Amino acid sequence: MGLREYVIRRSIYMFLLVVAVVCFNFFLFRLPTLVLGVSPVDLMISEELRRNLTRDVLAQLYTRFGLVPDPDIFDWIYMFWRYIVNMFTGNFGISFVSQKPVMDELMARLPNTLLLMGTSSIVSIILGIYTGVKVAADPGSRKDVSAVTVALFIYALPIFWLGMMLLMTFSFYLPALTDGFINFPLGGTIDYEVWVSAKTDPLGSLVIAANILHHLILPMIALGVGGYGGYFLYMRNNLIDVMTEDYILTARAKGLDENQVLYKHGLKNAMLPMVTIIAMTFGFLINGATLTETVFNWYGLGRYIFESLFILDYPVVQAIFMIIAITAILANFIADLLYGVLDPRIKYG
Amino acid sequence: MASSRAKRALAFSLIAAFMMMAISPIFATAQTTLPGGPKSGPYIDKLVFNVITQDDQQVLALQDDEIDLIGDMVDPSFLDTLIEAENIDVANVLRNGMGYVTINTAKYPYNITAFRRALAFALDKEAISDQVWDGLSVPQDSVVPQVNPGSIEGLLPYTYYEANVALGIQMLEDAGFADNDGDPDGWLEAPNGDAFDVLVECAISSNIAIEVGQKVAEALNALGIDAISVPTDFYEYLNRLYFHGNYDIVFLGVSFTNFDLDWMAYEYWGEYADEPYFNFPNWANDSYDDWRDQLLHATYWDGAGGVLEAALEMQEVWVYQSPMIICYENVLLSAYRTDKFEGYINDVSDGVPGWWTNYKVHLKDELGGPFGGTFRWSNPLDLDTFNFMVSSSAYTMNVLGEFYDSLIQQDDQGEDVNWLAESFIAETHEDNPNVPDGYTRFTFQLVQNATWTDGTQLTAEDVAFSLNYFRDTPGNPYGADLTEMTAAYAPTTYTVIVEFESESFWHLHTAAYKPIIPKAVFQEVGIDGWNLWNPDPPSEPMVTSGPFYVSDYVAGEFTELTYNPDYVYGLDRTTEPTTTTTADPVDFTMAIVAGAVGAAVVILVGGYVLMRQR
Repeated sequence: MGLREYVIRRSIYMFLLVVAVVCFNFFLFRLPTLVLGVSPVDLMISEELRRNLTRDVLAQLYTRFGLVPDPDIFDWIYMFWRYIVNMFTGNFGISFVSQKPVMDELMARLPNTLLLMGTSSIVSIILGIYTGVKVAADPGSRKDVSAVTVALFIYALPIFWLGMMLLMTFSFYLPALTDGFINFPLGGTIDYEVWVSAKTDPLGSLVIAANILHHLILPMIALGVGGYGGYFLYMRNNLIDVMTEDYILTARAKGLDENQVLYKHGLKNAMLPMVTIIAMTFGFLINGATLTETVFNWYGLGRYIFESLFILDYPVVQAIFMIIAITAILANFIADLLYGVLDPRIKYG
Repeated sequence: MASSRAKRALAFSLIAAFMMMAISPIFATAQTTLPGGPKSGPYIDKLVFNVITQDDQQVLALQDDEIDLIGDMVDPSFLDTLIEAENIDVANVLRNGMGYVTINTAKYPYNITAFRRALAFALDKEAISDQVWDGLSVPQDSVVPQVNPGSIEGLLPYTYYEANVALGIQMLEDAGFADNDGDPDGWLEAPNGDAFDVLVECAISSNIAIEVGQKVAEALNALGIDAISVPTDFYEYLNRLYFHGNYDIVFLGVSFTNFDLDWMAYEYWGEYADEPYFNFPNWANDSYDDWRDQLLHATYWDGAGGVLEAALEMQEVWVYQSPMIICYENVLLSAYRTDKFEGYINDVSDGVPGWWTNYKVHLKDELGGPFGGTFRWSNPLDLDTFNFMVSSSAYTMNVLGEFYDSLIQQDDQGEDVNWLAESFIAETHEDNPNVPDGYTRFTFQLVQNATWTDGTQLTAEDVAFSLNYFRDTPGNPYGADLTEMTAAYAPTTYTVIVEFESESFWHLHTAAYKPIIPKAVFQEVGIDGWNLWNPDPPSEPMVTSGPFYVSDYVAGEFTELTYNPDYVYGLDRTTEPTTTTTADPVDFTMAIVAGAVGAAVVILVGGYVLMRQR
């Protein structure tokens, strides 16, 4: 079977997977309603409104959100059908909370998430690969043992805790100790004061960009450091495995110097499994980092998922999970294709 | 020896000096007064709401001078940190709300009044205030918070404040509860001989709820009743309460935004014992219901036949019957910086972070005040929408509450203040035969200088349109209580007539507390578009009339509001502050006393010198 057949077969498989994800998505976020009977309408009724509630107003509230009070099996089937039609026509609906189209809400947050996740992923991938290669050249050395210990320690650290520690240190204690010389923001993506002054500054755009970068540093470090351990360990272990292969012995026997053996023969082959991991990482960029974005008050999709889940904003959470699922499936597919490009020994079939 | 001329000069100098002393407090008072009257404002230039989600980050931001006010109630665990911090003050106010446990009175044996009263007596509310709240709450018995002038708290001959387990045990014994089953467990059986156990449910997300739930279970155990407290999912049990599902005892909290009491006529009404979303204890009591009509349809507050009398009688029945047991009324803590701004208002409903603080806070004199400055809040959540009719978020309403005024406003003490209404009269058929029998008619005269931000006049047409719009838009929460409004119309440019098909004291607030919206804008939005209206300021400026308008918004980061220069009670910022206005009453009294003493000294000393000279 050639590449074309493989792509067609995988596309059909992917379509079926997306259908399964869409169906699963519907029930996953309605579990509180299915199991516990909790309705999003209940969460949206303020105490003031509850005291003035009439049956008419309540019925209209349910209608407004496309919900049915105390639904029976036929109501569920109807809601499911309408959901399926909407999903496959790209209509993600209106957020229960903001009453704005879900796509608009997602697009407003996407750039921030891509910025944070993209930069932190690049930092952790580069650092992880670089240090992994360095220590794999000399496995069992003191340098290797120290690096593995540090990487395992970092890998085990909860990122939200690391984030809080960074905030406490660089945004509160150090500014106080250095009289504001070292001062990182407590959260957010831009300072109000900078925004206001930039409006009258001819270099306002640069000032704003610098301020966003200033806000980006701590969450990027938290996420980058949190992800570093994984990349380092994968890279190191892959490379150590590869370095025991026969072709490495052959290369050494040919008289190549150790750097050539390591980078030209070892690294190239050890990178193959990393391609899948990196591709999957970029597939999940859109996912956001729920805890990090929440700790750093970062206006992104991760925080949006967190907030929307709490208030059962179905249209939002199901749209985000749908997009995450599709990007993950696509990223996996691309990784498989890249495998074949990078390693000619791999045949599709 | 000095000449008589010199003596005379000395005498006049002394008189002049003492005269200056006498009148000097007046100058001192004048320097600390604000221009404008009690309705005047705002003084700040800009009001910024920064989105800061975490409690600890809000406290750090306040300490770091990134904000001037924490826009939420402060967690008591930060109290010591904030008290010790420089340039930060902490204020507190009793909450217009409380924590309580509701008892399922539809279930045996909780339907026996003696059971509920025994628990009320056994529960140690003093201990809840001291141990659970560390002194930041007070015991409470009435269903109406004690900050409400209509509360019966303190007027009954008894309280349930201190634990009186012996009395509770006696009540249970008299009602027939006994341990007769021969089982060595020691727990009481119900009067019919059935063994029973009580499940006290509380929210797993709240430490206070868990601790109070534990106290309730302990009180039941002390009475000899088998009970345990279980922390569980709040929304799960809330749903059971809304739809009258099965439960024994559940912990909840409640808050009110004003001091109205008409909700008592629905919340515990016998006919609403099975009504979804009402009457959590499923309680029905004829004595309570007998006063309902008076509470709803009396047209005056005080005296025999008034709403207060009915409210107090209903509370007396309610407290005795104890379908719910109020556990505490806690204190709301607010924290704010004092280095730049002053004039913070500790509102009885909201504490310091409220409308009145935004309206009255001003720059200190030494910083060039009172006008100007950017006053910064933290707001725990971003705006979910600029459509005030759609949002149920209190944090969104912190911002949107600045945009539209109402006919009558609730002041910081909870009293009504005429706002867009200059005056009004309320009439029934008895007062005016033109009013149909059984109807209430309000005639509001509007202030004549209110404008919208697009420069057009705010008129009676806008007011009438607003009320009709809220009532007629399907599912609009602002119209839920306007179903009895039969007409709202504008016979003249500044006169609005609003009619209700029943007589009630409460109709005034129903109509007059509603935000007034611009007719020209919402006619275009239409009846069906009320929830889809989605303004996007500042790129699409909103037409508002309130003290502030949106001048900038960065989603997820901040909302900047700027003072409305044409606000109906706005101040002329181009002239020097006048000195004949809102003096603080305490300072003014001090000035009078000091002035009187000074004058007396002048008269005595001056007279003495002149007499000696003569």
